[in-house]
Amino acid sequence: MSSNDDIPFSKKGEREISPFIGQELLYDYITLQLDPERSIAVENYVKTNRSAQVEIQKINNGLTYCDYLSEVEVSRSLIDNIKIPVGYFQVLLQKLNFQKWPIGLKLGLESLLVSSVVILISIFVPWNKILNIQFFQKSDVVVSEINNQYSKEVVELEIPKKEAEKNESQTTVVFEDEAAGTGAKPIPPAPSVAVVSVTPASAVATATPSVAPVAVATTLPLKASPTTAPTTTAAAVATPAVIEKDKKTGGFLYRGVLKVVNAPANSPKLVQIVKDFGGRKAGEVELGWTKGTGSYFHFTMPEAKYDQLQTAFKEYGDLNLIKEKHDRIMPDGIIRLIIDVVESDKPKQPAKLEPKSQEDNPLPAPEGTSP
Amino acid sequence: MSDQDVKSIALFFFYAWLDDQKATRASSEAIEFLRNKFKSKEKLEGPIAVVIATKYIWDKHKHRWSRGKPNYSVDSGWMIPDLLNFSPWKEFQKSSSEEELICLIWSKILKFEDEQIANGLGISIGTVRYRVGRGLRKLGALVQPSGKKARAEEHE
Repeated sequence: MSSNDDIPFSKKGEREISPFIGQELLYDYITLQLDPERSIAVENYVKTNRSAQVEIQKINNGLTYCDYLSEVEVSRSLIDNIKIPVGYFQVLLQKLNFQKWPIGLKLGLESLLVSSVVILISIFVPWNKILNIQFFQKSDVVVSEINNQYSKEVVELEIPKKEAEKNESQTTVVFEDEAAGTGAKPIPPAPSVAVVSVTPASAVATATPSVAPVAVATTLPLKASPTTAPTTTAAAVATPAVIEKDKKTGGFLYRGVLKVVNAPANSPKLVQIVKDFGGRKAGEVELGWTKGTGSYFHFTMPEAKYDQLQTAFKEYGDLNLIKEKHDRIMPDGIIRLIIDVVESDKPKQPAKLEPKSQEDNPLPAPEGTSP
Repeated sequence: MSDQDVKSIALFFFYAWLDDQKATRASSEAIEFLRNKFKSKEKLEGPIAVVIATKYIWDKHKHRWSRGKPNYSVDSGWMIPDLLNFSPWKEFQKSSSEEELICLIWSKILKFEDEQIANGLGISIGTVRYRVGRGLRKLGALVQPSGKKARAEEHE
């Protein structure tokens, strides 16, 4: 009970404010945030405490100084500038203090930047490709669909032997786009058989995977008639393995030289021969393009007509053809040839210069010339 | 957002960093923050929005942008009275604690109510008053014997 006597209550029974509480209440006392009773208590504390008076003086000084600080205004232009959204480039410039840099340094950096951009453009732009672009040259693009899906089924073709022999000579190979003009119907894409070439001796129709079924049409009747005496022939199936092998070996190109006498005069005839065998120019120049005293032939043609072309060309001179490997893969059944026709030193025997008769001529009759 | 809010934001960052470019950039970011923050919600303006935005941007840059390196000029858009002495504030801005500095700016320079500051910060009014009182004592100690006299002495 003696402890209660130690507590310094006032005469009214009120407890006096301690220095700690009094210090904390000074700000509230100055800003009139205290209730009247507390305010009187703090006032009494301040009267008797020197440090409290100093603190009140500090607070008043601070309040007065803050009033002066609040007089600072912001210009209209700065407010407008602040309202504009900040971009990354502006932030970068602000960070670098770019506005405060010397003018010479600014110009130097700008010129360095521009020259760097020009150098980078000149290095990385593929000028060769741009210069090689020929905007006004017309190019013919032949798109052919090749169906390489061969089934493993064995197709038995029943072809009358006599009829096959009779039609052997009629077997023609034409391009798909030419078929429309001649009336020949292209074979619909049969996945198992590419082309059928009938051999009279064996009467075996062999599938040649190198000939595209779409690009090649044949007039050979493929009638499976049970009434006629059938000669069952098995068409060899081009297996995918064979196709893969051909793809891996790449393409081929037949390149050679034909030495003829009086090359300028014979060149148009050779052109006609090539056209008759279904050849079409492959390069940029026309067939029989004059090259010095000779001429130049770059063309594609059906592979089936290759032997006949050789025979026809040899009538005019010495022909040497070499089969070379080439990156360009031609469609199945089509070959590409480059033949340089040059002037021959040795005169050709007159008997071989011209075919004697129509029968001796291995060429088919040109369109429109047949009786 | 009103021009008064933009002015308050700009002044806050000016006194907080005493740097033209930092104040301008931080003000722009604060305004952008308010635009994005309250784009879909109810439009929030006034002192509470200013407190929220300025506190967010302050916390974002306070570790990178050190205080105590004044870099401002009168011709950059801040219209400072000729007789005002900035030395006490420079010293206070450099030496005071973060809470005291920003609460003093909001309360005694921008004249926001303690309740608005408390709502913006999510703290009690008593905490705000405590911080402001502490800041005023430190600032007043730097202004001897009074702000007005200090200003006059500086002018002389």
